[in-house]
Amino acid sequence: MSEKLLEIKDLHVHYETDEGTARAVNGINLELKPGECLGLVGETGAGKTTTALGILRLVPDPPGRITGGEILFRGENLLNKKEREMRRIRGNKISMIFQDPMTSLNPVFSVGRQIAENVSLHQNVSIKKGMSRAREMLELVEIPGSRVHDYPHEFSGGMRQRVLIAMALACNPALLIADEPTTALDVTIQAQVMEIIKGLMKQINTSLIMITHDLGVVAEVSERVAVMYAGQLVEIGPLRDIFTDHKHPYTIGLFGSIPDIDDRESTRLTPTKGLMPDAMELPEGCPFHPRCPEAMEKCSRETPQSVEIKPGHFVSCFLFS
Amino acid sequence: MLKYIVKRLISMVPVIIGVTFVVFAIMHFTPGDPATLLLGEEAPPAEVERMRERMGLNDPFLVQYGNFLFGLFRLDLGFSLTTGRPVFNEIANRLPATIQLAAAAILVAIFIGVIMGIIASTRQYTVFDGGAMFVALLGVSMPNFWLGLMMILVFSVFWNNTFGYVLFPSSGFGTLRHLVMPAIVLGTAHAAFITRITRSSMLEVLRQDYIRTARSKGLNERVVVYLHALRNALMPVVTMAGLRFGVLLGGSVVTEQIFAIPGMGRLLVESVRSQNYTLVQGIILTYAIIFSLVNLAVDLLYAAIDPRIQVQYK
Amino acid sequence: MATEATTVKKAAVARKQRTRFQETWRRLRKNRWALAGLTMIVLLGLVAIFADFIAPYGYNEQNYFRILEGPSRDNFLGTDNLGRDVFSRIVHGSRLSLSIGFITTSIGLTVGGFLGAVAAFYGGRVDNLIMRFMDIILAIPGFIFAIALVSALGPSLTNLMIAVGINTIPYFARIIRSSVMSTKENEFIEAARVIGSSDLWIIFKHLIPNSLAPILVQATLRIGDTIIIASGLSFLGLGAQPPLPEWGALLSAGRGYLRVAWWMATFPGVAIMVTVLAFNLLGDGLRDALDPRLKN
Ligand SMILES: Nc1ncnc2c1ncn2[C@@H]1O[C@H](COP(=O)(O)OP(=O)(O)OP(=O)(O)O)[C@@H](O)[C@H]1O
Ligand SMILES: [Mg+2]
Repeated sequence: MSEKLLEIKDLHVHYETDEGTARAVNGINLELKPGECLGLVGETGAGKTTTALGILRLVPDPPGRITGGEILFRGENLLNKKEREMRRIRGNKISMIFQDPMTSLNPVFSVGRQIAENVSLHQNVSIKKGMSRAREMLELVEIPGSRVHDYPHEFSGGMRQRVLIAMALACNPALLIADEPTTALDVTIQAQVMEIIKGLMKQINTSLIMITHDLGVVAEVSERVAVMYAGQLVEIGPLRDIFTDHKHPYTIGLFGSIPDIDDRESTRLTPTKGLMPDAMELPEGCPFHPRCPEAMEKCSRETPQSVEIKPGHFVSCFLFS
Repeated sequence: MLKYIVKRLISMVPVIIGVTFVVFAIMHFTPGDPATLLLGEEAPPAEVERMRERMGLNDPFLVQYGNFLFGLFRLDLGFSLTTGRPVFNEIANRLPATIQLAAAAILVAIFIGVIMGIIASTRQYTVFDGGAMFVALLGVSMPNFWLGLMMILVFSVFWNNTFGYVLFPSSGFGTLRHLVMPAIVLGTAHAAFITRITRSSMLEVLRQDYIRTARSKGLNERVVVYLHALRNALMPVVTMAGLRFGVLLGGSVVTEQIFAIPGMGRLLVESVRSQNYTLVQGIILTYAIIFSLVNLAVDLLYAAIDPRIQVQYK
Repeated sequence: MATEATTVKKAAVARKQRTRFQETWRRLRKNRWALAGLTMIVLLGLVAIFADFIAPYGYNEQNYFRILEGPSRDNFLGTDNLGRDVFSRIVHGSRLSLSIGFITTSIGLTVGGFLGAVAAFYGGRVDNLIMRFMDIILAIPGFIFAIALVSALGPSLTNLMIAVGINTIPYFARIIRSSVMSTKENEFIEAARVIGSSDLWIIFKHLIPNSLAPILVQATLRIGDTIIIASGLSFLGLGAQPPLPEWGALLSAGRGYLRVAWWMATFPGVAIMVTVLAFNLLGDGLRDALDPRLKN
C-alpha cells in the first residue's frame, strides 16, 4: 500500500449549461498523506468547492461532469467505483463540511437524528444506538448532549457548524474536507470552531483538506498549502514556503505586504488588480497571464507545467521552467 | 396545540358569518315567493299572506338576517320549502356521501399526484418528466364531467357490450365498486394539479444544500428523495392542495350529478331548480364550512411536517 | 423642473418596459409548448370568427331524417337527437365558449383590478374592508358560489357570465393589490404625486400598467378555468339554454344519449379540453417567460 491517502491526477470538471461550458477544474494534481492537513486557498470561483465535490463524486450532474483524471483514495480510483461503493465511502471514509451551516442541515429532522443517520448507515446499528453516538459527538463539539432532539432552527450559526462537524466526524473518517467552515460565522465564533476542528484532528488522526479564503485559517491548521486559480493549482508547498518564499506572481500578489506567518489577524485574500476570468471564457495559455505583472509572450500561448523548485514546493509558471 | 386549534376555530367565525351574510343576501333577492312555493300555486292569497307573516318574510331584510343568524347558533337552518323537513336534517342525510366521495378523490389525487411529481422531478428533462407533465396538463385542462361521461362510456357501456358485464356501475352509491369511477373522475384534476406543484417544489428542494449534505453522508438516492427531500417539498404541496380543495368540492357537485350519488351536490342542484332557497342557503354554508375546516386541517398537517412552525403553536 | 424630471423618468420607464416586453417575447418564442398554445388560440379565434363559413350547417338546423347518426361523410362528427350536425354545433359553440372565457375574465379583471388597486393605494380601512370581503367570497368554493348566483339571477347565458365573472374578482383583486403595493414605493409614483396628478389618474396611468405581467399570466390561466366552470354550469342546466350550442350544454344533451350516440358527448368535451389546454400552455409559458427564476 502506498503511504499516500489521496492522490488526485489531472482532474478536470466541467459544468455544461445553456450559456456555455464552465471549465471549473482544469488538470489538478494533488497528494495527501494520512494525518496531513492541506490548506486549499483561492479566490471565489476558483473551483475549490468543485474540486471537493469531485473527490466525493457529488458534482451536481447535470450540469456538472468529471471529464477526466483520476482520484486515488488508498490506491483505488474513486472515479471507477460503482455508485454503491461510493456511498460506502461518503460520510464514512471521506466526509465533508459544507460552506453554509445555515442551509446545510435539513430543517425537518432533529440534529441528533441527522447525526445518527450517518452512524446507523455506516456502522450498521439502529437509529437509537446512533442517537447515543450523536449525543457523544455533540458533547465532543461542545454542545450539550441533551440537545440531540432539538431542530436546526433552534441553534445558532456557529452551533450548526459544530453540528455539521460532529456529523462529518461521527464515523471517524480518514479524510475530512472542510469547505470554508468559518466564512459564514462571525469572528469570535470562527475562532471557536477552528479550535474544535484542530483539537479533533489531533484526537482522531484524520487528514484534512481545509478550503478557505482566509490566510489566517490556513496558517493555523495547515502543514501544506495549495493555491488555486481559475481551476488550476498555481503553487503548492509547505506552509512556511508558501507564506515566506512564494514564487508564483499570483501568490505574490495574494500576500501583498503581509508576509508574517504568525500574524493572527485574519487576512483575507487581497489579490492582484483585475478579476479572475470567468470559467466559461478561460484565456489561452496560463489563465493568470492577463493579470500577471511578469507576463511574457509565451504565457498566452502555452500552459506552464508544474515544476518542483524545492523539495515539495511546486510552481506552475514559465519564470521557473 | 389544542389552544392553537381553538384559536384557529375562533378566527374562522367572522369569515363564516360573512359567508352567511353574502349567501343570505343573494338568496333574499332570488325571484319566487317562498310562501307560494311552500303552499303551492293554487293556495288562496290570504293563506299565502298568513304564511308570509309566519315565516317572517314581511320583516325588514336585516331583521330576517338576524333571525337567520340567531337560528344558526342553534343549528336551525329553517325548513325545506319542498318537503317541510328541517334543512339541517336534509343536509345531514346527504353529507356522508359527499364526504366519502371527496375523501376518496383526495386520496387518489394525493397518491397519484405526489408519485408522478416525484418521478418527474427526479428525472428532469427525460421522457418520464415530459410524459408526466403532459398528462398533468391534460388533467388540469379536462372538464371532469366529460371525463365522467367518457369513463361511463368505456367501463359501463363498451365494457358491457364487449364482455357482457359492467366493470364499474355507472350510477348509485354504497359499495367500493361504485366509488371507483367517481373518485377517479373527481380526483384527476386535483392529481394533475398536485403533480405540477410536487414537481416544482421537489426541484426546488433538491437544489438545497441540505440535500447535498444528505448525499455526502452516503445515503442512497431513495432515502435522499423520499425522506430528506419529500418531507420538505410537501409543505407547499399541502398548502396549495388545501386551497385548491374548493375546486374539488365544486367538482363533486357535477360528479354526484353524473353518477347519481345521493350527496349534497345533487341536493343543491335539485334545490336550485325548485327554487328551494332555504336549502340552497344551508348547503352553500355547509360547503363553506367544510372548506374552512379542511384548510384548518391543512395548517395542522403543516405543523406536523415542519418543526419550525410547531414553535409558534406553543 | 419636476415635470421635466418625470418626463425623463417616464421615458426611461417606457423604454425599460419595452425592452422587458421584447425580452419576454424572445423567451416565449423559444418555448415550443407556449407557441403551440398561442397558435391553437389564434386558430380557435379564427374558427369562432369565421364559424358561419366553416360550419357546413347552421347551429340549429334540424334534419329529422338524420337523427342520431354516427360520424359520416356528411356529418363527420355525427348528428344529435334533432338531426343537427354536431360538428357545426361545436364550431358555432366556439363563439360562445371563447366569449364566455374572455368576458368573464374581463369582468373579474376590471372589477377585481379596480378593487385591488384601490385597496393597495389607500390601504388602512379601505384595504381591510375590501380584502376581507374578498376572503369571504374565496371561502365559498367558486363553482358552488357561481351556482348560488345563477340561482338568484336565473339561468341564462348572460347571468352565467356575470356569475362566473364575479367569481374571478378576488383572484385579480389579490394579485393586483400585491403588485401595486410593491410598485407603489417606486420613485416615479412619488414624482407623479409631486406634480399633483390625481389619485385615480395615478392608479390607471402608472400602477396598473406596472402590474401588467402578473395580470397577464393570471388572466390567461383564468380564461381556461372560467371556460371549465361555465361549461360545468351549462352542463347542470344552469347556464346557456337550448338551443344554444354552448359546449357544456352540448355535453349535457349528449349525456342522455350516451348509450346510443357516444359522439354527442365525446366531441364537445374534446373541444373544451383543447381550448383550455391552449390557454394553460400559453399561461404557463408566459409565466416562465416573465419570470425565468420560477422555471426549473
Ligand atoms: N452548478 C453549477 N452550474 C454551473 N456552473 C457552476 C456550478 N457550480 C459552480 N459553477 C462554476 O464553476 C466555477 C467554480 O465554482 P466553485 O463553486 O467550485 O468555486 P469556489 O472556489 O468554491 O468559490 P467560492 O469561494 O465562492 O465558494 C465557477 O465559475 C462557477 O461559476
Ligand atoms: Mg465554494
